Formats: sequence, C-alpha cells, structure tokens
Amino acid sequence: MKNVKRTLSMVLALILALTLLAGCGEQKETTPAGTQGGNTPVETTAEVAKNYKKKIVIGVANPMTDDDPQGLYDNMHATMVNLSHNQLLTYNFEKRELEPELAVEWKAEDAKTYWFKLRQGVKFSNGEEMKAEDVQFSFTGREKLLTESTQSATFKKIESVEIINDYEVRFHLKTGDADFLTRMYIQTFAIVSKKACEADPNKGYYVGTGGWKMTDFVPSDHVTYQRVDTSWVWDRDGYIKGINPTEELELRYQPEASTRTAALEAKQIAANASIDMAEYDVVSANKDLEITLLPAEVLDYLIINMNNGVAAKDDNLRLAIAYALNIDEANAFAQEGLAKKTLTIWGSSQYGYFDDFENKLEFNLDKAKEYMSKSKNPSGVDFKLYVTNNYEPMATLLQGQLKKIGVNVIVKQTDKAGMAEVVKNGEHDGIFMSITLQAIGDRFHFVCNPNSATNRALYENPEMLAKFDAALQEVDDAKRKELYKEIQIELNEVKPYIPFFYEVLVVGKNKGVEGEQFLPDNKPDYTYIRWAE
Amino acid sequence: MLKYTLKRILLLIPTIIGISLFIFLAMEAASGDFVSTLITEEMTDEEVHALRASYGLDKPVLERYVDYMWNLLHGDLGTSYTSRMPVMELFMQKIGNTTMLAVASTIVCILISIPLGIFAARHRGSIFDNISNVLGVLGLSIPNFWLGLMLIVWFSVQRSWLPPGGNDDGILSVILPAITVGTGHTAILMRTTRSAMLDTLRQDYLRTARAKGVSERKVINVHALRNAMIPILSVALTQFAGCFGGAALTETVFGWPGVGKMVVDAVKQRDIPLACGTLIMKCIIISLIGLATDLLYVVVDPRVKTQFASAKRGKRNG
Amino acid sequence: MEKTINATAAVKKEDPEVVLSIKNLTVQFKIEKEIVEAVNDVSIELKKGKTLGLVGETGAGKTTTALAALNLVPNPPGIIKSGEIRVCGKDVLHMKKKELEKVRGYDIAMIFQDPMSSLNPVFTVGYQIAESIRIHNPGMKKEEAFEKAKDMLEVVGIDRARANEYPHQFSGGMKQRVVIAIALACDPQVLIADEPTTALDVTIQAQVMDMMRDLKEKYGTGTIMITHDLGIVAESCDDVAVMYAGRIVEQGTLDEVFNDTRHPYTEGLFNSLPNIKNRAAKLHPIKGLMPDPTNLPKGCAFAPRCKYATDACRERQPSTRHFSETHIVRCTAYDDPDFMIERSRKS
Repeated sequence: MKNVKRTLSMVLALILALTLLAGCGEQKETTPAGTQGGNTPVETTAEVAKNYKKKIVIGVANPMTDDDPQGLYDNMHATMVNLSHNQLLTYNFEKRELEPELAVEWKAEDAKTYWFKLRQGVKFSNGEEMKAEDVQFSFTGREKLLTESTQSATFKKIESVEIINDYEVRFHLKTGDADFLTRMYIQTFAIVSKKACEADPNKGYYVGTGGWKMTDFVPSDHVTYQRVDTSWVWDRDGYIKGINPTEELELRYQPEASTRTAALEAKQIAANASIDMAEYDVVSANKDLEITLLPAEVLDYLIINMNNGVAAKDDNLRLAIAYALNIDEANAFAQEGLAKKTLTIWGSSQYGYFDDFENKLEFNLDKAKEYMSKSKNPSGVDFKLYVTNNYEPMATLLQGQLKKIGVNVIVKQTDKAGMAEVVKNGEHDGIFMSITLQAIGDRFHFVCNPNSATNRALYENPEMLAKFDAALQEVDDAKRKELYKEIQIELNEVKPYIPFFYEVLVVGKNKGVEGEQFLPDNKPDYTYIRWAE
Repeated sequence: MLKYTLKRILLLIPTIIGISLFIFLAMEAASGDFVSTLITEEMTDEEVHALRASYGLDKPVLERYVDYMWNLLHGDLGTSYTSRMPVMELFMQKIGNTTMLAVASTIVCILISIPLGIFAARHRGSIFDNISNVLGVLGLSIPNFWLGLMLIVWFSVQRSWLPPGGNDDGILSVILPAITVGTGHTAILMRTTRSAMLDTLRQDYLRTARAKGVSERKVINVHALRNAMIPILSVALTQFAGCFGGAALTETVFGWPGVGKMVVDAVKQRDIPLACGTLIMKCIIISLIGLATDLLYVVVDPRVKTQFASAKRGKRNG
Repeated sequence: MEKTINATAAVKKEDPEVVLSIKNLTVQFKIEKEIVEAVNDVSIELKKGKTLGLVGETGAGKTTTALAALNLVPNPPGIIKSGEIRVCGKDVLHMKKKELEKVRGYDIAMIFQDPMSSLNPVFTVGYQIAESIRIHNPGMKKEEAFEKAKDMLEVVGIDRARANEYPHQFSGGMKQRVVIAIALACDPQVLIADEPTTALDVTIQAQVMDMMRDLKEKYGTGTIMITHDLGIVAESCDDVAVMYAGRIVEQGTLDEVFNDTRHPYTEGLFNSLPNIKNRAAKLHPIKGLMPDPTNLPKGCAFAPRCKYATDACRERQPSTRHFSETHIVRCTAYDDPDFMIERSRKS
C-alpha cells in the first residue's frame, strides 16, 4: 500500500513498453514478397513466387452455435459446412442448374425414386474412401436428424436408401418430392463418414470430404479449420487446382458491422461477406479493398395479414396499399438504388420463376387513392406494421409513403423470437421482412398452408395448396412450371405479399485475396481462399 | 471474521434464487421462446410443437424453474439451447476474457483517475481542477459504443497501431476495449479520489507530520494517501465488480469473447439456461468481489481490524 | 513606581541561552479579498529551559505565532509580512525546505490542541514516534528507531508493549501523551504546546501537566505554553506574554504580570476569573467582543472595551513602556504619569 503510485507508474511504463514492442513486431509482417526469394517482380498468376499467409481470418455477422453439419441450416452454418463437407450435388446460380459434386450422374426415376452414381476416389479426412454406405448412413443412419435438424422434414420423407454397389445408390421416398434432386445441394445434406460416426457418436460428424477439417469450435465466438491435404477438392475440374497454400482458416464472429468493416480495413480479416449498405461509400473508396455488389437471393417483401388484419377482408385497401408503395424510393433509400426489383416472390434463380403478369404492379398514387376511396375505411385506417431492428428505417419510410393515402402506419419493432409470437397471435396488420430464397420450386409451399408455422400472412387457400402438392409430385417439367405459374399469377392478383426487390449484398476482400466464392445465396464458399502478401 | 464471511456467503443463496426466478419470469414474459428462433418455412405446426416438447418448453414456467433449481443444487447449471453445450463449460471458456478486460479497465481507470484526482484536490478551484472535472463528466457521457468505434477507426484503421477487435494479440487487443470501459468509470473514481483527498488534506495529523519534519512529498503520498486510499479502493473495487456485470456493449463492438456479450446473445435467442446460468455465475463473482472489498477494509483500516479483534477477544480499549 | 527605560532595550544578539527568538512578526491572511491581520508586530524571546506562557482569548493570534515559529503557516492564505524568527540561532523563515525539515521536530517541536485528530489513524503509535526519530537520524535502522520509540512511550507513562497499537485504541489523555512523546522524541530545544490540555478533562489535565513539568526538568526543554487558562500559567510558567488582537499587550515574569499587573486587558482577564472564596458573587466578563481582525481600529485595539480609554488611546497605536527590564506594557494611558489601574491601586 505504501508505494502505490510507484507501482502504478511501473505498470503504466510496462504497458507503454509492450505497445512499442508490438508496434515494431507488426511491421515485420508487411515485408514485400520481393525480398523473400530475391525473385524478379512477380506476375499475379505465377503463384510459385508469391508468399501466402498461413492463416486467414474471415469475419462473419452471425454466431456459430452448432458444429453438426447436418443440424442447423442458415447462412452461417452453411458457410461452415462448405469448408468441411460436400453434398451429392451443387447448384450453379448463374446457369440455374444442378452440377455434380459427390455424385457424377443422377436421375429422377419417378417422383419417389432417385438414383445417383457416386464419384470414385474421394477421401474423407480420416483417410477412408467415400462409398455408398456413407451416403446411406448420412441420410438414414442418424436418428437425431429426424427431430433436431432443421431439414428434418426431408429426412423424414426418406423411406430407405438402397445400396446398389459401392458407387451407386437409389433413394426411395415415402411421398413424391419433385424438388428432391434440387434439395441435394443444401449444405445440411452433407455426406458424413459412417465409420467415423459409429466410432465416435458424439463428434464423428466432424469427418467430411471437404478441403478443411474443423479443429476448434467455440460457440458464438469462432471456429477454426485445418487444411486437409488429401481432399479431392484440390483436384477438381472447374476450380483452382493444387493444394491451397493457406494452412489454417478461422471464421470469427464479429457481431458489430462497423467493427467488421474496420477489421477488414485493418487487414485483420481477409474477407467480409456482410458489409452494411450504409458503409458502401467508405469501403468502395478504400483502394486496398475490392468491393463487389452481389445481387443476392434474398427477397424484401411486405406481408399482409389475411386473416384478422385490417386489410384482410378488404381487397381495395390492399390494392390501395400496393399502388401507394414507391418501391423505387425504397430501393434508393435502402439499397442505393442498386437492388433488382421484382414482381413475384419467387427467387430469380428459383425453379418456376414467372413474372410476365398482365396486371403489373406499378407505383401510382392516384390509383391508390381511388382504391382507398372504395375501401371499407375511405377516410383512413390504422395499420400495425411489425419489423425487426434492421428494417426499422424502411418501416419509417413506408409510413411516410402510406400516409399520403390516409393509411396510418404504426411501426412496431420486435426481434426474431418475438416475431413468431406476433404471428401466432395475429397481432399484426403487416410485416416487412426479408426471406432467403432457395432454388427449389416448392420453397413457398407455406404461403397458403394454414398448418405452417411460418405462414406469416395467415393466408388460407386450399386450391393453391393443392397445386403446390400436385407440383411436388409432378415429374414433368413443363406441367410443373405451369402449376407454379398459375400460383404466381394468383398471388399477384390477391396480393397477400407485395414483393419489393432482391437485396444487394456488399461483399469485400482485401487486395491479394483470391479464391473466395461469394455466392448469391449469401452462403460463401471459402474453400479455395488464399492471401498473397 | 470467519463467521462474518460465512454469513455473507450464505446470503448468496437467496440472491441466486431471486435472480434465477426473475430470469425465468422475465423470459417468459418476453414474446417468443427459443423454438421461435428456429422455425423455418418447411416446418409444420406439429413439427414446431414436437420441437418445443423436445426442449421441454411446453411445460409451464414454474415447473421448468423447479427442474432448473433442482439441477442447480447438484451443481448443474443446465445446457444451452443454442449450442447444446453445458452452460458451465461455455461460461468457463469466456470468463477468463471478461476478467482480463475487467482488470485492464480498472487499471486504466486507476491510472487516470487517481493522479488526476490527487492533483485536482491539491489545486482545488484552479483551472486544472475545473478542466479535469469536465473531462470526467465527458468520460461519463460519451457512449461506450461510439468511443469504441472511434478508437478502432483512429488506431486500427487509420493507423495500424492496435488490432480492431478480437483477442489474438494478447495485451495489445485489450488496450482499446479497456480504455473504452475505463473512461466511463474515471469520472466517478476521480471524483471519489478528489473528495477523499480533500477530506484527508484537511486533517490535523498532516500538520503533526509536517511539524515532525516529514517532507511534503511524503506527507501527501504516505500520510494523506494512505488514508484516502480506503474509500478510493472501495469504489475502484466496486467498479471492478461492475465490469463483470456490464461491458456487454464494449464486448460486442470489439468482438471481445466475454460473458457480457454471451448473456446478451442468450437473451436475444431466448436461451434460458444460458442466460440464467451465466447471470447466476456473474452474480456469485460480483458478490464475492463485494465480500473481498469489505474484508479488505479489515486489512487496510486498523479501526475496522481491531473492531473484529476486540469483538473476538472482548478486549477493552486502553 | 515605574521606571521608563529606553524603549529600544538592547537585545543580546548571539545569546546562546536564547533558543527561540521572534522579532517583529507580522502575519496576515488573505481570504477572498479581505486581509486578516492575525499577528501584528510580535516579539518574543525564549530562553533555554524556561517556560513562557502565551495567554489570550481565542482568536488573539497565539496559534498563528506558534505555527510561524515552525514556518508552518499555511501559505495560501497566510503571508508572513515581516519579522525574523530564529530557532537556536537559525533563521527559519528564509531556510530551504530541506533544512527546514531538519529543524522541525529536531530543534523545535509542537504539540497541538486536539489529540483526537493529531494522530494518523492508520499507523501505529510506535511507527509515528519512530518516524520522527528516523527522519532526524538518517542512518538509523528501523528496529533501533522502534526501540527508541518504545522508550519514549515509557517516558510518557505508557506501557511499551502498546507501541503496536493504533491511536483509536487509546483514550484522549493517553493520545496526548503519545503526541508529547512524538514531540520530545528527538529532544528538541524548543517545545511549543498549543493548549495541550484544553480538550482533556480536568483530572487528566492535571496528570498531563505534571508529566510535562517532569519532562521539562528532565530534558531542559524551553517551552512556550499557549493557553487561555491563567491557572495553568500560574502553575507552569516562568514568564508570561498576554496577546490581544495579534499584539502583545503585556509581557514579563510570572510575578510581574500576576502581581504587578499593568495592562487594563490583563486586569480584565483576572477580574473575569470566578472567586472561589465567594461562590455567590456575579461573574465579571470583559464587556464587548474582540475586534474584527479584518477591520482593526486605527488606535489601540482594546480601546473600545477599555474603561480607561482616552481619546489619545483611540487616535494612535499605544506606546511601549518598560516597567522593568523584563516587564513591558503597551498602553497609551500610561502617558499620564499618575495613571493606575484598579488592580494596582488595591495592591
């Protein structure tokens, strides 16, 4: 207690000294490649002469909570699975087709039966070769998937997986599912090693065929991967060949968008696939970063409560609202005008996309007022609009737009969990939110299904539901697309949903980073990422 | 003194019961539950019900509460809904980081507040006193969030002196978050130091010391400070304990993997066992720090020390 | 009866017998634009082994004079306007800090009025005594100094085993003994005791006074006993100086001041003492109040309350008169050769 001041001064001096030392330390890392091997100035394609970082950190916006590749399905966990595991098929968003992954040939024999021929010579990270028994195990061998996986509905549909030989399987489904093949690209349908899972029922699922193996998992903090040199992905047609020079990868949870951007700018992280649109100006001006605007498979739309909401039994009110919405203004406000507008809720890469409607919705204030005067409350009506945090500014914008026709929007904010309660109790007149789109045609089955937990419009339409069911059983391509076209036309007429636009993702990476795949479904694949110094 | 310590530890029990009951009821009152966060478009109502049952969330709140407390009695803090890992394990992973931040923040706070407070007290009424007062209030009013981001911009982005977050770089990573949390506390500690010093500087025993021939430096730094330290340390330790409760915002901004952020995430995801278990552990830690602070008084202030001793031995004052 | 001696009595400059010499000391306090004239042209001389009683009411300037002797007057707001103070011949007002620290506690020591607050509560009494010893004996080891501290405790009548106890474990009288032990630890030549027994009750007071007398005999310390209690002065002092409004109005030997009182104020002090022989008699306090030190009258400060005051008294500062070599009085009334105060007439 005597010489408190002296001790404190010493600690301060120590801290300062360490800071200075560390300052010296940092400079070493940025030694230019040229001084390493004494080579002549390097071409960007001549990888041999470059010096690559051994460890790369990538900042992510959402927490990692589940280490089971077949468990939780969302952007974050799909990103994780992309590194460590593979599926039977993969989806090419540009071409809108399925492409081979662990299966090289496939056929839909009928709505309930599907045949796959497997790729040979694919090794798991434990050295074992992937064979038909692993595929069978992945789909039917893990009981918990029937209850704990978010894709449990599909797992439950599988009656059995028939092993024809080491490299051929046949799926037998209980009910027809025309989307089954398309579903196979979803990360949750990863192929795990039967031997590994039986040897270690707790963590055997870590073993996959991907280029990376998970080594450290701290929930809501980070997950690290070590490179698997024997993986087939390093010799895959259409992708960068050769073993990735990066040895260690870390996905780090950085919840605060500004911090994530700062980390990118400070070169702490190599890539950031979720840069806030608000920071687009700042990052695009930074010469050390490469920023891309990626049209995403995410739809922003307005959901109307068709059951007990104020616009439920009032078609004119709904039309009035639809015409009063200035989607261009919303686009300019939230997406810098860069988003692609859409007239249908279907994703642009989704099976069965149709938008050539006769009555195309356009912003028209006069028409809106006309419909409003014909509605049940021509003098004005209250409209409870629910949003989650990030869409609160948009809600305020819409409030201003709808005020012009006498609709008094009351903005109510809640979080993800709260929203489910709101829907359950039917407290809303409308919800503005986004939905992640998928390639499968049946994606929107829930929109008219009274039994669905996510039918936020509380919309019931038995005929439409029957069409969805029929489409799922329909193997004929043309017939199937016709059904979806009819559904979309009807949705456009009734308007339980008013689609706005597909969000634009701002993705960024540091100069010298290559091999990253920022995909439109916001589930990037970092398998091939490397960073030349 | 042992009896006193035991009594304080026993007081933890009603505190824990109170806190856990509060969490359960509060989460219940909040709309939605954990399963609401899991619902995807493919699921039907029955599937949602089944999922709810698998987590035991279909049982009434008091029944779940009793189950939880029963497990707690056996030292089991429960299993997190989101990660399905034991809460104790999750807590242990992160408590070290929060402790490091708490220690660093308190050091930053002490290093700024105490010298400034002493100086302000000695030059009371001067312009320096007023400036440091203003700075203190500034530290209190600046939102942590903003300060944290600004520090990142100045020191990590514009100049690469310090890392922008995470805790890879050991002591370097903790500097900016510690400054962010520490400046918020400096106002209070500086004020405390100032008034403690002013109070002490008035005391007659300093005059006695000077009359003995003690040098002015020693009069301030030994005779005065030693007395002023008692309330100062008490406040500093209380702030240290507070770091364990709060700092969630700073941890979020810097991506600092601590328990503050963990609780906030748990509440957002309606992960009751994680939220409850973490808060119980935090409460225990804070209470223990409080107990340590009170016991420190015994060590540091002879008047309290002899109170215990004489109470024990029934000694009369001379 | 009186002799008028030349006012400027020659003072032996380098008298080794004089351990404390205060000459023409003027101390003022500047508080928020007002100037408090606390000490006005005070001169005191203390000889080795003697006790000088400094008497006066509260606010007379006694403590300030004492503090000045150690150069302990708090610098804002106190200013020593003029004067020379020598402790054992050393000029304390113009010394460097380090030298001053050596003098304090070693050549001159002071004990203060309230023992309750004079001791630092977080250090043991042994430590506080030993600290003084160690400061003035730089080479000495801690343990040795502590032993000496224990010796001092015995000297003041406290069990040496209590050296490790804290001040709050002692009663008021014991605390004051500790304070005295600290003061005398280095055997100073000058001891200033500022109302050392005022805060204690009467029985303890007697004990402490007895002890101080014994110590004075044992150590031969020159003492200034500041007090407002004439009884204590009678018991312990060799010489007396009476202060009023920052001035010394009368000074002389104990016998001179008590039995040949000359100044009206001193008379007033004696008159206000209760008479033990006549308990039913009314008390006679001095009428009026001490003047406001920020606004002292231009004439004699006591004039407003003095029953003998003349116009001359109110006009100018009182003249200094020697009634003997040691008996000095400052009173204009004595310009009239026939003037006598009542107390003088009685005797």
